[in-house]
Amino acid sequence: MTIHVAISGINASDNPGPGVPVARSLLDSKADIKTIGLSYDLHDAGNYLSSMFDASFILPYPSGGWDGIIAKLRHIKQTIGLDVIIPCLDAELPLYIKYQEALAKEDIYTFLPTAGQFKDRTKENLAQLAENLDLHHPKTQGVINIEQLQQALDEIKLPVYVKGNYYEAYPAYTKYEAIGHFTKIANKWGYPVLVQEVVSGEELNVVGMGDGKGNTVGLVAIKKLTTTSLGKIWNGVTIQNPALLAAAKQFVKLSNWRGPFELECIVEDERVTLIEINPRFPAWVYFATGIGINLPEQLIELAMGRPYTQAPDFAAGKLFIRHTSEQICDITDLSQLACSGERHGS
Amino acid sequence: MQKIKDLAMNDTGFAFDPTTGASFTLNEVAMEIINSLKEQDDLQLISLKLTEKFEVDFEQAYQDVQEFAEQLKTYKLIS
Repeated sequence: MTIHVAISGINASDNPGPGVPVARSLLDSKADIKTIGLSYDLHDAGNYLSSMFDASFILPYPSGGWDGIIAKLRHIKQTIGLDVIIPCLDAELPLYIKYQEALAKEDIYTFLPTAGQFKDRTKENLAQLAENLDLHHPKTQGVINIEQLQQALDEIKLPVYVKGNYYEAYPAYTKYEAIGHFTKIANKWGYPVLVQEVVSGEELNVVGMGDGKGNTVGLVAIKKLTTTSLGKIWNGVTIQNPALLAAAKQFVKLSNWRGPFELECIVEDERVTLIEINPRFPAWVYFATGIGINLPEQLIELAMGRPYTQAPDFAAGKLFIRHTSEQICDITDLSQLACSGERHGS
Repeated sequence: MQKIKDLAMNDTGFAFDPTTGASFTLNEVAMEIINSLKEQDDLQLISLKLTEKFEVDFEQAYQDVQEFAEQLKTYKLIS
């Protein structure tokens, strides 16, 4: 039976979404899978990657509510089939989490965290979660104006990280740098803007998935060796850090985490500081697939209520090398998407 | 536990710390010292081994080994 899987986050810019690597992982799977790109922008690269996606559809923005999105999903199900959705963008996750049961009633399956799990790992609640997990968390304050920013700087002390509630983080070594970052982030992502203590140690990341019953389906830990100016991984290496891997398993166990996640941590000796938990696959998820841990494939099994295969252990010292690539298309590819909101085949 | 035991090292002097992802390039003397540290030799014994393998007197070898050990401490490979 062919499984039709729709995947969002199919932009592949210098701040790439996870959608293309998720699709690539599913293409590596032995299962009979057709991949469908869900996009909010005509120019998302995934819309034109016929080798990765069998079809692509433009969705209305999540800010417009659920009605427009579900109408489009029903259209996809009726025209080419739709069995599983893997939402890969932070901004759309609350909607999919809210409506996951309604989707299941229409035989469209997801494998997502619960609303409570999603809320517990937000930046406002992360300090409490870290405490519950016996992990450290840097001092963090949400600010909505320059006066509060100044108060936060007095309390936390420079240098600090100035972060958006969803995206972007910049180091600030002076008050004026902090004000500049605050203004830039507030204009782009709104309030609150977060001011966070700088913690010393190695920045390490984990991608994994929980089965919703406290069990870890698979884990891979990495160190980003080089990053872009936005802090996105360019080169990386797998690592076996016992304290970090134990923290990830403890997170899944205590929270009964359901679905994919990425932990961003700073580790110094045995001390693990939890910086962020992303409730979705990271854009480097194909790194795990490439070393034999295909988490998107396992997600499909879990979403469809099938028994999953526990991922094997992984070796330290595997390298990830990202590179740019170009795709040449015809203007009719763009016009097809622009006029009908969908594109099929090559 | 000394992290240096886990340090992966090949014959050409490339070393990789599997717990942090850090990598290092080592010369022949550094490789010799690290191999000895992995065998839990103390700094004096390591220095003595160096005098047998390289053209260096004990005092100079001991000073070099101490300096290198300090470097390893900054990388938290030994305590």
